[in-house]
Amino acid sequence: MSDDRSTDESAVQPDGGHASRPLAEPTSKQSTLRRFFTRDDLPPYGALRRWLLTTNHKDVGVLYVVTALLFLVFGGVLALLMRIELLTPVGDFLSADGYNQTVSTHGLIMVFWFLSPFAFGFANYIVPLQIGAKDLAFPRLNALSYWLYLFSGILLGLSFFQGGSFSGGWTMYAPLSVPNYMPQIGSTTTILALTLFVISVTVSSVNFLTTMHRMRAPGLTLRRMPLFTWSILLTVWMMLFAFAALLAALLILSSDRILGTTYFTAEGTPGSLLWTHLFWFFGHPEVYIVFFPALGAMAEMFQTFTGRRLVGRKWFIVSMLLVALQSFLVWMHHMFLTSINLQIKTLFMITTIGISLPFDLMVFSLIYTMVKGRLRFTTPFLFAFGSLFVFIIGGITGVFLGAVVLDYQLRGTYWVVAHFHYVMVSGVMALVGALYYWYPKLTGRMYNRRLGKLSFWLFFAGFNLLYFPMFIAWETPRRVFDYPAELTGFHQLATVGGFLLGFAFLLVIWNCYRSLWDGETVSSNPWAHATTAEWAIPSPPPLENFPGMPSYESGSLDFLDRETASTDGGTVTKPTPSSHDGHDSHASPWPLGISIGSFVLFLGLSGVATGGIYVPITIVGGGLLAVTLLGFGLESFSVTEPAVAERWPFAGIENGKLGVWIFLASDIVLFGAFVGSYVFLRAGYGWEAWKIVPHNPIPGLINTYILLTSSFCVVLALVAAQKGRRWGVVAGLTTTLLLGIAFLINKGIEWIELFHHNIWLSTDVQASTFFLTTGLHGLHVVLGLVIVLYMIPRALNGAYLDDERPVEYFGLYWHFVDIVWLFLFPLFYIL
Amino acid sequence: MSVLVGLTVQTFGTSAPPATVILQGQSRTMSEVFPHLFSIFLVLGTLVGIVVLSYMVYVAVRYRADGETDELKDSPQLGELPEGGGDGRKLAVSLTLSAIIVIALISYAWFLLMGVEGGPPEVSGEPNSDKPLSVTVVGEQFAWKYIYPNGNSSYTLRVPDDRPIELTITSSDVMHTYGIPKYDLKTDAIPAQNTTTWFNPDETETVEANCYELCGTGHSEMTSEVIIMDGAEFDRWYAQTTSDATPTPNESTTEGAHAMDHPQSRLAHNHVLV
Repeated sequence: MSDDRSTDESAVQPDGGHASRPLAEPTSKQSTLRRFFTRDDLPPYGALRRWLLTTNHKDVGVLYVVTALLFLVFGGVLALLMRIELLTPVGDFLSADGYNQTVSTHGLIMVFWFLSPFAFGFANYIVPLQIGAKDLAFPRLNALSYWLYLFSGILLGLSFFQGGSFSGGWTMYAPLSVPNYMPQIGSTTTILALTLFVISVTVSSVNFLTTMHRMRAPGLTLRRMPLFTWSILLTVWMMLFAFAALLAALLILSSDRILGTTYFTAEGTPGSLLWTHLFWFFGHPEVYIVFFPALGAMAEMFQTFTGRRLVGRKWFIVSMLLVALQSFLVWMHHMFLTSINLQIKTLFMITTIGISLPFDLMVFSLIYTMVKGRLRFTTPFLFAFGSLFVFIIGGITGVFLGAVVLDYQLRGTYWVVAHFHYVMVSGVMALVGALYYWYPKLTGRMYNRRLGKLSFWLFFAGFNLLYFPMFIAWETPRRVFDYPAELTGFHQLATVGGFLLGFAFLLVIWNCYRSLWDGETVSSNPWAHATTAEWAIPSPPPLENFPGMPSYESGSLDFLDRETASTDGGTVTKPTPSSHDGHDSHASPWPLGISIGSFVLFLGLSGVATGGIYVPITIVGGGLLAVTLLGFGLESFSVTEPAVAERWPFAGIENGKLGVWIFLASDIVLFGAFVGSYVFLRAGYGWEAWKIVPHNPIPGLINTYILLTSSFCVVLALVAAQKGRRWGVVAGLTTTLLLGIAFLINKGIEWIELFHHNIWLSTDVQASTFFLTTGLHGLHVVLGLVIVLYMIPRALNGAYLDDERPVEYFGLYWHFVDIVWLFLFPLFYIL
Repeated sequence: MSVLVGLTVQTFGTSAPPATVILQGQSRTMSEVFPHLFSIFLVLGTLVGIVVLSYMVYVAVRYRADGETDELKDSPQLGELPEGGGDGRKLAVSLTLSAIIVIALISYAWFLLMGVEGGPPEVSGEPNSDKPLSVTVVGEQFAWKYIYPNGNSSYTLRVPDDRPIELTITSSDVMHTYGIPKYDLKTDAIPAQNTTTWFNPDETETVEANCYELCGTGHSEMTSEVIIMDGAEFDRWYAQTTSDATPTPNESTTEGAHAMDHPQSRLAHNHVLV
């Protein structure tokens, strides 16, 4: 637990505002731009370059927190616009469409671009510290997640300037969301922005899961992980699967909007129900995805500031685990008013009660932790305490909605609005507490305590003044500006509360900003009774976090000399002697580049169907993306895996392979949702009446054989690599490439033949499902071939003879793509 | 919290039928069930809320650090491996208690749901009631169209006060949700799907139906009148509509007299069909 600051980077303040050091400019005659992005040692905090290039988890965490707060201001301003409109019971401030856009983007921004990223700022910063890792498993992917997040948000903002943003509510119900009813390009942009955000989330999920399962300090078994880390682990598992379902929904919706498929509008099929199923399958876990990190942070703060260990810690974890599993079994309680039958409603009512009980346990556990403690009402604890207080009200009012009969009447009213704000903004309250709690760790300085407490009381008062009147005025229909006149008083109170809450947020932000300069400097552990590892290292922590190898094997945290660390049979990599020898890379320009490329590409796609300027934008974006991806692939970026670590249950495989497995798990859900959508539409249409699109199953059958053979070739390439036979690798990969191309040509011929019969994406729903699902699979094949194309020249140079793992990872992906086809072929060609 | 209690007593305490009424008979309308159940939930929820929150605040005050004895015995240490703080039994008891309350409440609610889902009295087999009137409600941006059994359609719902009304609800474009707050009635209007609900009008009056699902520019103004008429008067009116009605399968046209009722004419800007 030394306070030594051994590296240059750690000696400066991490707030980006001061203590900058002169830049060590490269002296070569490169162009300014190139010099700007050249990766040398990580620049100091004061330099803009640092923040553009960094891949360090703590920097990325700070970027996430700051960016999320900017989106909070964006979403908050939209909320206040709504509250101004609602001062009077008639529409007199915003236009009808303007109000709908405000409602919709407020919801989207707060749920997606503020809440989760805010929590993941802390997750980025704190989780590696709590588990004793130097960084996340894939630092560049972490930076990529952040930049994709930022640019997806910018894309969302741009949508307002494309004839109006999305106006169909954050639930984006179809068919209102298709061009027939919402033709603005801006609506497409919003959907694409969300798609980009989901890609960011998926990358991030793979990264966090690999890190948390493979890089824990020795002795830190899963059961012993701190509660914040536990909450993040479960959140990320939920994210991995839930967001894959959302991705499927968004891809289908984008296709309906851009390519003209008819999933959500076709005659005789339950298209709008399909959307509600897809959306809520994602949407309910999403509630816990945004709330769990807050819960984990609350647990940490309760322990620290009561000076007691959490009561029933084991059951608290079991409860979270149960909720995480069950969250995928309650989605239809959002659909009690649809045409689903009584038995299903009853079933989902039961699962809904089932999921509420673990929360009771967690609430009691937090309350009993206070008993016989010594409660220190610091600002973070005030926020945590206030959060639990309002969460209880949110929970009780939620039970009302679980009773089907009450839900019949409360649905679509301000009861729901008040209830979910009590829950969601309770989460925000806890996360603001987390911001104060970890602020000294992030910055090395203490916030202003008086302002902190003032901000809490304003926050708490504003919160209740804003949301409680909504319970009383619950008969107001949601998302209308034209409400019963007798409820005006309550809505005016809420508006006052809204401005108070907005002011409290600004005070929090101001406090954090000012204290970067004015705050007193703090020691490594400013809170007594904090137990987790982040408090055992300097505030702010040095670049590679720990003075030695963290270990819990003795029963408590020690920092061992890295050379003397014992190995326990895990994957042994060369131990890094010390943290600043330059073995690990910490900067890369490519995550930013890829994100800019994706941003331009998606911007182009939003209007590509209308032609004009959007076509060249799409082409430029695609080119940029290809170049930056290539740059990312060719960059040498070294990351060492810890020599010894707790890795249950993934001790047998290394990080890269686990990453591929986890990604494929989410891809299974993506294809599952596509196949599920097909089955759902076909069942609704009449299974037998549905006409099979391909006239002839033979091309599909041939393609099945082609893919199976190509899988075999990848196996041969891997065997050759293991045996060190260069030409064997090249031959195996080349044959795979040729077979893949043959697959695509065969498919192309089949599609052209159908096209000649006037069957295309937009012909009817049968054709839509056929082309989109097999097209998504085809895209996976194309992606695989791009990777092979990249690998063949490297194989020629003998790249995989010493280390055949890339061939193995590619093989996993390729086999997966083949297996998917084994499902698609019978479903779309034969049955 | 006292506001909640006051609200309960004022708004719902008096209007809710006593439990004995509710428990008699198989079939109940939402306007019987909802206020009754809502008031029960509100009273119990408020009680539980007050107990839990008061206890929480009491504990917070009681165990507040006073600055004198700074250290607890056995306080957590930096770098220790986490363990639980005991008190598992208290936790189990609390959880059981809350589970009993929640499960009892929801079960009772489910039991009442069966009555609502049973449909109007005649359907559930009670002989002494009038044959219900069936009306189809079609949501369209941004109006509610009502189609009567004789094919007549209108943008105002006229119903008699002496028999149950069965509504079959659907949509011709996007998702809407049809609701008549006065009768605590609400159900989704989904394209290509039918949902059903029913109610028992009891006095002649004009009430409002709203849309409860965001459905586009005119969502806020998508309301319609529901006119509850004297039974005999309704029959006279209905007979007269039968004579001149020509059922039109095309949803965009309707009988001449009501063509101008369509609220779309009120909206300056509207959805653009591409």
